Amino acid sequence: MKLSKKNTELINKIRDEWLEIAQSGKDITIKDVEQGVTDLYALDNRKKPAIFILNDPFESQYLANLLSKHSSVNYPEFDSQFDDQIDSQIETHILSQIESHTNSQIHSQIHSQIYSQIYSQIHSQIHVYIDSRLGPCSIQVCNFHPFTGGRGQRTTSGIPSRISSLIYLQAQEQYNYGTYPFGGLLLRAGFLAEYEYYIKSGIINLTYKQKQLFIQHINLFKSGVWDMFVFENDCIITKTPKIKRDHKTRLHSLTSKAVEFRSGFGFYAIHGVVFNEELWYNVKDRKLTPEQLLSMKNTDQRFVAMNHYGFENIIDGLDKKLIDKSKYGNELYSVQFDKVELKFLSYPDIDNPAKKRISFVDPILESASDAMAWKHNCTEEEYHKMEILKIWK
Amino acid sequence: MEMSITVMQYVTFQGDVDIRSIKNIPSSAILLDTKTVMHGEATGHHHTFSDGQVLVYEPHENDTVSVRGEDVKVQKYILVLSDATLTHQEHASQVIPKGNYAILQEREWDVLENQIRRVID
Repeated sequence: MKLSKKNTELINKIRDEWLEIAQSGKDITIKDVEQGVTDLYALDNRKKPAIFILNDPFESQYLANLLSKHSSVNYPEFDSQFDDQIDSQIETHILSQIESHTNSQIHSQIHSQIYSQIYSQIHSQIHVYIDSRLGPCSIQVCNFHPFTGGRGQRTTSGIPSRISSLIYLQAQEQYNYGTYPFGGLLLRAGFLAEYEYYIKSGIINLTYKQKQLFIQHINLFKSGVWDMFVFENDCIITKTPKIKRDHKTRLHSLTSKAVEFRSGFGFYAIHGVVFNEELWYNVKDRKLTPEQLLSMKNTDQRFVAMNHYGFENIIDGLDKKLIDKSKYGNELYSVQFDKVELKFLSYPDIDNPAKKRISFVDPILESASDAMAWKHNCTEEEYHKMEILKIWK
Repeated sequence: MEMSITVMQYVTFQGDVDIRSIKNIPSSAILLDTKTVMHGEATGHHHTFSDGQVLVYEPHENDTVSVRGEDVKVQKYILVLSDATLTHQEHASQVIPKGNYAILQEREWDVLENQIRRVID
């Protein structure tokens, strides 16, 4: 089965809708959350729990740790219920009705894109922060993961006695990074979006009851649930953050935190690289000298910072070596940067020869003319024949 | 439909716009109601034909031309029916001779993309 234009449009629509839900920072719809959680617990023949709606993952993790300390370890079995009633049905349909390459195509266009944009880029940042602040815990926090093939149970080693309000406040004051052990929309959005596509496109058909169950479930997460911890009598919900990206979908903002929860909890990033607050301000406002930039210890941060400054503005600070110069005044340089060889062209602007331009080129290139030909998508021979270059002669 | 087109001879550039002659413009290309081949993202400047007879086409999203052994994405196609002048606010005007052309974007080595350790797993 080949995906039609209509199918592709539906894939894009569903994918973008889930990304928007997970990134927009929209406030939660309490009525929908209450209904969704009630339905979820009813699925496992449980009564509606007390619902805590919190602003960021740190608060949620902290409360989850406290509740776990005082709560029985009788966690709801939502995952197995879903597995029995929906997940296995969907997977069976997919395997029997869709060719593997089409399945892979759909998976890569929906799940993989959402997963890479939401989970991969954000999870580890939050994870590192919370673990560093709350330490390893001796509790099992059940974090609900339908459709992931496993119960999201976290086994760690001990709520430390040092967790106190003082530590909590100190951690809050250092709100530069955030973390969370498991993602909500962070982890589920990809699977849910993919299954929503299969159902909406009519590729697979569920029974009325299964469909209702699925709709109830996605409505819960579409109401703005970033993550949830589920206990026997309590359910902790975290609201979604606002997430900003560059044109290549990397976490990025030069005006505020790239990931920011409603409490202010979040972190700064430039083109996918995370910075602490002070360094982020210094880089984005270009307050560092070229020498300070070049002495930054973190390679990723240094690359991104140099890119933000403009390589051409700091090139004089680099130890560059002239490789070749053409008759048109184009100069090809090599520069060693953290054991990586970069090459750049320094060349006169063809419309304003007094002005020098800088442009990085493929490091395999050996001559200035071939590098300029590469820049202009032609061979060196074609480059030398260009009419436009006759003005140099 | 992905197209791979054999590249012919005439090549030139105006600023960051590269122009290459090609044998034919694929039938999947869509004729546009414009004489502008590219807009500057930051400046608002544009590369536009001011005279001559020129048709500008939108390529299929996967259309490429083969250059130096690499497939380079086609930004636009142009059919120049009679010699036409390509203008721009900051670059010298150029007369483009009659023929079929692919419009390409000037290349630059993306240091971030190629050198940085990828953050995304």
